[in-house]
Amino acid sequence: MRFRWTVIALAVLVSLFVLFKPADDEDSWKTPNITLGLDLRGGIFMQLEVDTVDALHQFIEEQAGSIKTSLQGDEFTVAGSDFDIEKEQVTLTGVTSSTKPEVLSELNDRYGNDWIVKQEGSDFTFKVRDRKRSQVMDDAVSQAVYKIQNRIGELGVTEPVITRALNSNRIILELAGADDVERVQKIVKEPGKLEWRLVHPNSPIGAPSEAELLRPYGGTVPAGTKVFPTTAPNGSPSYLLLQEVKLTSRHILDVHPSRDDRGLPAVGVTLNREGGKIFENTTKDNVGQFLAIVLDKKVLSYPRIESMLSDRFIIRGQFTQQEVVDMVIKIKSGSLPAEVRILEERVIGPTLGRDARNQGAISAAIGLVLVIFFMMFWYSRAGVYSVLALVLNLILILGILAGLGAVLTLPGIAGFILTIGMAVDANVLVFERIREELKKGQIPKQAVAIGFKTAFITIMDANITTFIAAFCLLLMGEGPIKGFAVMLMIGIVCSIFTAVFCSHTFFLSYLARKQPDTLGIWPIGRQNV
Amino acid sequence: MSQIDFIGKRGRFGALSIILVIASLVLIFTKGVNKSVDFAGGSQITVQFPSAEINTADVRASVSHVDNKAQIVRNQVSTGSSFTVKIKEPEVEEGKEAEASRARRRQLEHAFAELSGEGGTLAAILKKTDVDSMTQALVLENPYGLNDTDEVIQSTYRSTAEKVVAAAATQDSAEAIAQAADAERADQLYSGLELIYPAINRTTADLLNALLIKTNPLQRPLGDSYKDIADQVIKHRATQSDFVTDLSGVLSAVQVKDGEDKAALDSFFNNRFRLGNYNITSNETFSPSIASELLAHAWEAVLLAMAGILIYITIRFTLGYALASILALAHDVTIALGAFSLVGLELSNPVVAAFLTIVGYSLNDTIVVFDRIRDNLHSERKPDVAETLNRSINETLSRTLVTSLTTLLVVIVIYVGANVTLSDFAFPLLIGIIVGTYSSIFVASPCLLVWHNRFKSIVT
Repeated sequence: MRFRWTVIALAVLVSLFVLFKPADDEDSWKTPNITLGLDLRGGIFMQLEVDTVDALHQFIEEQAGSIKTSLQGDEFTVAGSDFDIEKEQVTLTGVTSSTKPEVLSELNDRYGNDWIVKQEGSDFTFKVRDRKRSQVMDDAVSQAVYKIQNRIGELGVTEPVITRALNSNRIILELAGADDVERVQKIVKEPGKLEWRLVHPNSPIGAPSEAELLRPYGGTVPAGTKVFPTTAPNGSPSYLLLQEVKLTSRHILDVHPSRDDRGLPAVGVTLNREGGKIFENTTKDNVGQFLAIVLDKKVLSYPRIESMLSDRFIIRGQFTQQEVVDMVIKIKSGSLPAEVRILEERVIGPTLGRDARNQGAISAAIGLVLVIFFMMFWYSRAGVYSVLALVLNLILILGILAGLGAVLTLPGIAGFILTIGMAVDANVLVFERIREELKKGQIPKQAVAIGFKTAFITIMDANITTFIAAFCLLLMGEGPIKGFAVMLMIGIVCSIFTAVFCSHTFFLSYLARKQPDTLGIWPIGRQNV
Repeated sequence: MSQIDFIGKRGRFGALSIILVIASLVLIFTKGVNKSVDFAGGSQITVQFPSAEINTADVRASVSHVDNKAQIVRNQVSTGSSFTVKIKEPEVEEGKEAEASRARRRQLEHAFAELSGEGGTLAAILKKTDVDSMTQALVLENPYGLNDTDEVIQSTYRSTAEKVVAAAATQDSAEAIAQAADAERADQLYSGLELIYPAINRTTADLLNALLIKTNPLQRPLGDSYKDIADQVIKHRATQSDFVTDLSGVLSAVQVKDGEDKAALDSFFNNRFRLGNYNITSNETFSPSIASELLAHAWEAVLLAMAGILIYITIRFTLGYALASILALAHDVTIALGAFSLVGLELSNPVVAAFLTIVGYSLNDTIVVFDRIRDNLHSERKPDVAETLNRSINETLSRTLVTSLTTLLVVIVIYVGANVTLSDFAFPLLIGIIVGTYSSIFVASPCLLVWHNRFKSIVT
């Protein structure tokens, strides 16, 4: 008996603790830790799809030019290049080299990792390898995610949630409190803004604060310059850059992971002709200076110009392979974005969310009161036990909901109310069984024992079927509906515990204390059979 | 307690069930079940007006040029008026859904603006704006998405601002101003202007904060939050039933920090905000591809659940019990769907959730009866199956009724609660629970008897 009461007390205390435990950033015990869904707090939900096939086509198209140029710059002559989007391949015609007799093996050495190279006379076809193919498509989604993450701050949304479904080209965007679809659509559809600017010469790079950064200039921003924040989590918070933009996304043909002359990971960049000229002039006069890559007004990186450069160069540093890949994704998100489609868009105004929340709370309260009255009327003392169990049940449900960090949605509230009605079902089954045993002439103690024991199997069977249905809903449903399924599943588990274990404990405790001859389990006004 | 002869009267109830199922199937296949936008694709927009004078016909007339098949439903609200506009399966070119939905929403917003008399307010505010402040706002907003040097961006938007100011002097609608200022990019310019000069009643605290930080009227340190101001404005708005009729009233309620000049804030609000005459309370858009995917998932979920339950009951009981309960289940779902079609409600994601709940819940009562049947069959040496079935139903009758009653109580509460989404959801549950209780008494056990007589004995 003591064990039973300890279990119940622990369950309730843990639930209450989890439910009201102050989060890190707030110190109040008053607000329950229930995360509300967008349909209850208002906000924007979007499901996006990145056109990865389009990204692959872009890649093949740009590689047709880039492989050709790269070979031409390296003692090969190439008559022409073409690409076939359907076949996902690039064709180079008339490839010869005076210095390198084994053209095929030479091409395989250079491009074999990413392409299957085949020879037909002096023509070569490059078919993209599956590994590269899925990498390109995967990167396209990463770029879109990065772009959205980087720009979402413009909306002023405090907790934006951007989730990428695993192994999929779908992105889910949840912006609580946001209301302006127009602006969100703009962020989603438009490419990021990429600029290359020189860092102000002699400005204190690595200054720990903006005040330190501007100290040499008397605390004011010098003419012709601008302060830019950085995305890097540590290091200097801001840099002083020259106003003039040297390169923008339209100058960039390709960005790819590469290696420097010592074989260390680096970022390879190819510019178009105009960009190449600008870059030549810029780098010629500024060897030793720093050049900042700015994406959406934030500094991504500021490599030092080591020598005069033109349209093909690398950015190196002490990068790991992963850092190079990340940097390529970031730069590409501002220059070569893939098409993003909006599959689904839901905007819930803050007033609607508030109304739904209030109505839900009122409905839950009314439902609870009705069920409480009915149970107390129909089962008298036993009814009181079932009501106690019901209240425990609701506390446990909320505690588990908070503990799992599950989101409470409008259908979730419906599930909660439904649980109130369904939770007492298990008690009804037990009580009816006890009544049956009492009618057969069993003494209360025996009737209660048999009632709980035999009804348990039935309760399990009946609840497991509902659980199966809820589980299927969780697998297949989406958005707010998942909240309903989760609520139903939690409700079922809790109600088995409270209606069987807890109310049994109440009975046992009463029977042990009072040793009664009759049991108050009949409708009020009818004292016995 | 006297016994009721349920099994003996099974013919009559069987006939009733068959008639109901057939009637439901006829309804489902002839009248059909309406699909909501999440399964049909399209948009569903709910709009609220402060005036209760506006009626459904007015809304229909003004949205008819956006889509003449649009359905319009008036919602019950305590103040003003609220309408839901549903545009299903719009004819849209493949791959252009987002643009189409954007254009559709904008057209609808214009229709609402005209209807509520808000139409001229953007033009009015453009008329009193000078070139400098508009240039500054345009540069910050960057409606053309320019990606160029600062000088180019500055000069582009300065010339745009000059043209807008010039056009505002002669034109009286914001669309005409945008058209006159930059015919080529009129659409981008127009939506940019709408973002720069938002309606105060349709602005969120976050957005207001972001706009204030960008413009920084109180000269706070770079990047400092304006959340205090934004929160006060939104809080005050909530006291005015979500519509602001008097901007100066809002401003007088706002407190600035010590040493800040409130006049600057006042002029910022007066120059940048419109009073809105309508509110979009919700807006849902589903592309055709996601809609058909959602519908397919819904079917899969229902079938998967039925299969799972069939397997579970087969394991716990025998195949005969499982088939009888699935038949009862199909009976319940069909009749609930028939009732749904009869009433003309829409099949949506929450409704499918309700049907799945029926799938799970309507079995509870059936299992209670089946459990008793199994027990009773075990406890007798040579049971009379029909008699045992009937006795089992009678013995469990009170719990069947009481469990359904408690659940029915709360479902009625959900149904009566004013929320539209939830009452659509509660309706099939209501029908499902009633029919489920009926079927566990009158359908499941007779089916089990038919199985026993025709196919395989259930006595082991």
